Amino acid sequence: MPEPSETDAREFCRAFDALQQEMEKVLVGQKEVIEGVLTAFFAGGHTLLEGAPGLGKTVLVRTLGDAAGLKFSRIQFTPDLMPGDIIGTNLIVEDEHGKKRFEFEPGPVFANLVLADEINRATPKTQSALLEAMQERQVSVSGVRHPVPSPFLVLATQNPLEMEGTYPLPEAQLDRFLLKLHVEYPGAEDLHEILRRTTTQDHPTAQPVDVGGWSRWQELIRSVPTAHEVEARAVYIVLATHPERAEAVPLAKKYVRYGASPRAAQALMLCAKISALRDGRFHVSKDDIDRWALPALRHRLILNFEGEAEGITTEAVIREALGA
Amino acid sequence: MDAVIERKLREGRSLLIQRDAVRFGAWFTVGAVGLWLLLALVAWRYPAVPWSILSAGIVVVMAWAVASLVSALRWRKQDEVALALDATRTTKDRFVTALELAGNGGEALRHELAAFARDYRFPNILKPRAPRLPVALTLAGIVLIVGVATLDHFRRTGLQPDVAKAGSLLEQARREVAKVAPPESPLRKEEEKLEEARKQLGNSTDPMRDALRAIADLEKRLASASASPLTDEEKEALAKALAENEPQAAQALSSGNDREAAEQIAQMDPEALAKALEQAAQHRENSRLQELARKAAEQARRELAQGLASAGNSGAQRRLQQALREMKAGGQGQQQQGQGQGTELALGKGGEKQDGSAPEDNAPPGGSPGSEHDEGRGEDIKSEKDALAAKGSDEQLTGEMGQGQSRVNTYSTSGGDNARSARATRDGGATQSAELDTVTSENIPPGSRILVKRYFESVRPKE
Repeated sequence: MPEPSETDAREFCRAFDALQQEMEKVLVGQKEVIEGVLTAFFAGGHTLLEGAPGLGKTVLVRTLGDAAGLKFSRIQFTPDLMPGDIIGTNLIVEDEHGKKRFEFEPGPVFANLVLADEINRATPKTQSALLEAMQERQVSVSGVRHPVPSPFLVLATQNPLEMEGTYPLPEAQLDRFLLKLHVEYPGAEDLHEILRRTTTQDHPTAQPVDVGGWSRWQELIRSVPTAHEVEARAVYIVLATHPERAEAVPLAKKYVRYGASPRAAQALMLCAKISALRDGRFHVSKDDIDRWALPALRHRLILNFEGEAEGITTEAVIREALGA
Repeated sequence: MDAVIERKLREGRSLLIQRDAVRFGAWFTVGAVGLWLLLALVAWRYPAVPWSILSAGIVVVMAWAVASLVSALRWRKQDEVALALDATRTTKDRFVTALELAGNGGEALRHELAAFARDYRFPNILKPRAPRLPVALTLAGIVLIVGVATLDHFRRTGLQPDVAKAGSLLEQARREVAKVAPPESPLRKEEEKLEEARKQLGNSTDPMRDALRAIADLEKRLASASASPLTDEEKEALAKALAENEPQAAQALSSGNDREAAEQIAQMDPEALAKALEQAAQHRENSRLQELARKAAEQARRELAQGLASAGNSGAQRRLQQALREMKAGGQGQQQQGQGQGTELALGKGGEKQDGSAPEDNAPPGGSPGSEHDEGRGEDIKSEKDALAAKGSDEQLTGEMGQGQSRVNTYSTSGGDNARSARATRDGGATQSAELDTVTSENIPPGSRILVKRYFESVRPKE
């Protein structure tokens, strides 16, 4: 495995910071969400954004596409959306010789950044159409595999308020999101700034940033070493959410049906490595892991009936695991 | 691994040991001071218990020594030190990473860890510092101990005059014993006991009481030792039995000359004496004569001779007992004066007492069963000398008809001060003895002792 060099680490930080600055030009008061989205972007993971309408979720994703100079597409999920509308379909085309043949017409999923807006409004069948693309980085149509471009990142949004007529994402799909980020309502100062930027002539836009080779950063991130003792922290946090395990915290034992999957531990480690690099370190610390425990695990726990009835949140279980 | 990191780990281990030592030492000191305080309180109650500032110093030093030893024994391995240092959350787990990955983590990691180790300063949380709670507890304990020590000092200073008086009383008693005790007599041991009691006065919370108790004990022992082995009737019976063969011994027994009788009996043939004892013991059930007659002839002769000889010395011993009794009476007066508890009894006009049974000289202090009717008594307990009474109102004691056994002797004086009963006057010593015995031996609540003393004062015949 290549060793991380100080130069690479500096360039990575520079690219990360540049993207963050460009996004913050457009988005106000969402520093943590921006950092989360960028971390998932560099880790090569998909992000689920949850927040009330009008908080800038769509703008955030579009801005990332603009700033990163990547091909961006948006899919507005509705109940009548069909899988073919996402992944594409075979069309009968006639060539110049009058011969007819099927030709694959790629859907909007064939982009570097895919915004799946209000993903929980589509039927599970349509939601599942994204599964293969998210995990395998390809789509299969009529037995033919079509790889999606690299990088391929899905940023899905969902609105937690209007739950009628929605289809909660299946666990399998939720697990494929590296992080689930909550988009919080901005404060008064931030609201003033939003008004200033959106209701005047001064309308900032994100400029494209040269982020260097995306695959290069993937290698760099994965080359950051981790001590066994530190890695044990990630393992412990994940196991502490499993009610049947000895490490389980009391809340997990009582209110959790299924704990976090191994993908959660992978997500923790990848995000922790990015944090370590951004902090100028070439090794992961337990603090880095703790920092990402909530966004990496909150959508991976499934509460039991008692937990739902008592109003227990998955965040509470994770916080208990962190504090134990 | 980088040498700087190794050095930092060594320093960290040293700091952890010091921190543990201080922490343990602080808590052990709390325990030691607590024990010391307990000891001080016990010594306050029982002054004979050894207690000094030096003992406190030793206890604290021992606590710290044990704490240091325990800390040193909790030797940490390098990875444990690294974990402990990283647990301070100031290192970003660099020590653990350095131990595990410094060799294969890459050049960048090695540089980073070395740079970190060079600039690393141990956080204050690792510096040896006593926790606040044990420090506060220790200070509170020391304040309490100083308070107890100060009070003890004042008490001992205040007791000095009493110690001196009680000491002189015991010295006087010892001299009296020395006067009557021939060389190699068992009474010499009594001298030693009195001397020992005098030495113990320094640790007493009530020296006069202890001195009087020592004298009273001596008095009891003398009384039991001076008792004749035979009653007058038994002597008369034995004299009759001996009259034929041992006229001199019989004469001595009849005349009550116990010493002469002892000498004669000591020279008698044991078998002859045994026969005389058998003869005298006839028709005398449960008598001392029967006991002697049942013993071997030689043993019976020896016991009888020794008993009569010791009874023959009783004249001197009686004088000694009388002297001790007078000393005790004087000592009690001093004690009451010293404690400001002197009371004076004036019988009321209608003062009238019903006599209990007539007490014998050697009767128990409580006297024989009887009842007490004490109306009109105790109305005029004056307390000009009584510091305690000066703090409150005079107490009025009203006697009631009691049921069952009374432990109080009541003397009928049939009149006022001018018509004192000779019997009551003669038995005054017994009353004082009963008072002393009751106050010192009975389980009387401390607050009620003065009432018991006053009661005895009130029933004591006036001189």
